[in-house]
Amino acid sequence: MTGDDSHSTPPDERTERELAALADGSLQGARREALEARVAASPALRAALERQRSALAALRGLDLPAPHGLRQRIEAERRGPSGAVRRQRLAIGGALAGVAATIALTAVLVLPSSAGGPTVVEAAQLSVLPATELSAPVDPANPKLLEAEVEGVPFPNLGSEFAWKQVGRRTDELDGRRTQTVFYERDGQRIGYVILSGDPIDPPANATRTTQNGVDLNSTTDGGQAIVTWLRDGRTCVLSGRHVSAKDLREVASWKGDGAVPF
Amino acid sequence: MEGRWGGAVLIFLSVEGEERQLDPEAASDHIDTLFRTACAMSGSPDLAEDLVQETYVKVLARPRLLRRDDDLGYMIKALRNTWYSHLRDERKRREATTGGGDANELNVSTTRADPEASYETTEVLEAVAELPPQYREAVAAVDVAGLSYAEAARALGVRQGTVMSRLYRGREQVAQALIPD
Repeated sequence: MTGDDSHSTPPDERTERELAALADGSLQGARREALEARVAASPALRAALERQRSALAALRGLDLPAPHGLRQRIEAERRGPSGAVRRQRLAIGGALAGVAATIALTAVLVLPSSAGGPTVVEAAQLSVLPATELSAPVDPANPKLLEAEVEGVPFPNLGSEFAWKQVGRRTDELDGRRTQTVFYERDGQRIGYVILSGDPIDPPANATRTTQNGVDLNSTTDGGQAIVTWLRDGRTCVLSGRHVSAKDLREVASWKGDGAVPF
Repeated sequence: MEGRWGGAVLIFLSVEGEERQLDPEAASDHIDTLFRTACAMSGSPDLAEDLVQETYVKVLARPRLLRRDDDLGYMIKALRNTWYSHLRDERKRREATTGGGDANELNVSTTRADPEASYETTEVLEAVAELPPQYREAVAAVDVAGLSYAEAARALGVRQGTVMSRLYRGREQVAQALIPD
């Protein structure tokens, strides 16, 4: 390129690479000096270098801090073993379970319940674990549902009606039953919606029974955490979250989405 | 430095060149960088949130031995794998529901629960989303994540010169897109 090349062909590939490096300061020594001399003599190269620097400044200036909720979930994941690690432990006979950081919870998952099956309170403990899978897509045929289900019972999409945004999922085995949990967040609060495979499990003995929107709901608390359980198509659902009122949970639990959410 | 991991005690080596375990605490230092990079790769802060979370879940569940002092490069590589896995799933889903569609097409959605994303940020993300995937990766790895050319080459699985060429062309297109009408 010469000094009169403002409308000439693009720089060759080597010059492209060196311009990229000159723009971000990684081109050094004799090659830098040589290119700077060429740039000084060429309006086209000067313009190209200016565009490189302009794009670089815009890209480096991206102001996108990670959302607080994401940071919290990753910290929780870092502090506790992941679902994958936990499942791996189960596969080797639970021998390492006693060493895990979340001893109590692992024991819940590994050991049979005294009553011969999982309890609602045990299922509710899944709602405070970190998500281990990406969010489920919204069902394109029915936007009030997600493309996630347990034995044909789909999870609801709570975004438009309740502003609870789905933030991930996890799959576990609770006393021989497959469970899936979908997590939702709103205003810094988090809830977990658990669906258990298999026959219904009994609500806690101390639960308060109410009927809302034609749905029988059982509400209780555990360690200050509100828990609501009910049935959808013969499968047990458990909804729970810290610092979320039982009233809010019941509203979500009984939501039928004008018939779009199957019960 | 010692760290407990999955019930076992691991020794983390910090001497460059020797094998060492990814330090989970150090990995947490990269959340902001990973999120910005995922935004650049995917064009969507919402999707980026999912991608970063999934990346951390995978990396923390199955930490690898690293030979270099290059935790961020390793995390970016893992993020890229998660992104491609997402694209494959999305392609399958589209084929199942609509009979096809280009999963590489980005749906740039900078509207998010956090309305603080500035107009400039939205414009830049849109410009990056318009790039061909190979240019977008190079821009995301070097200019957004801050990797060196050598680190980016390792993370992206291409030669360093290829990274530089793609970077030049990616920046060129971003600059053109940001020129006011």
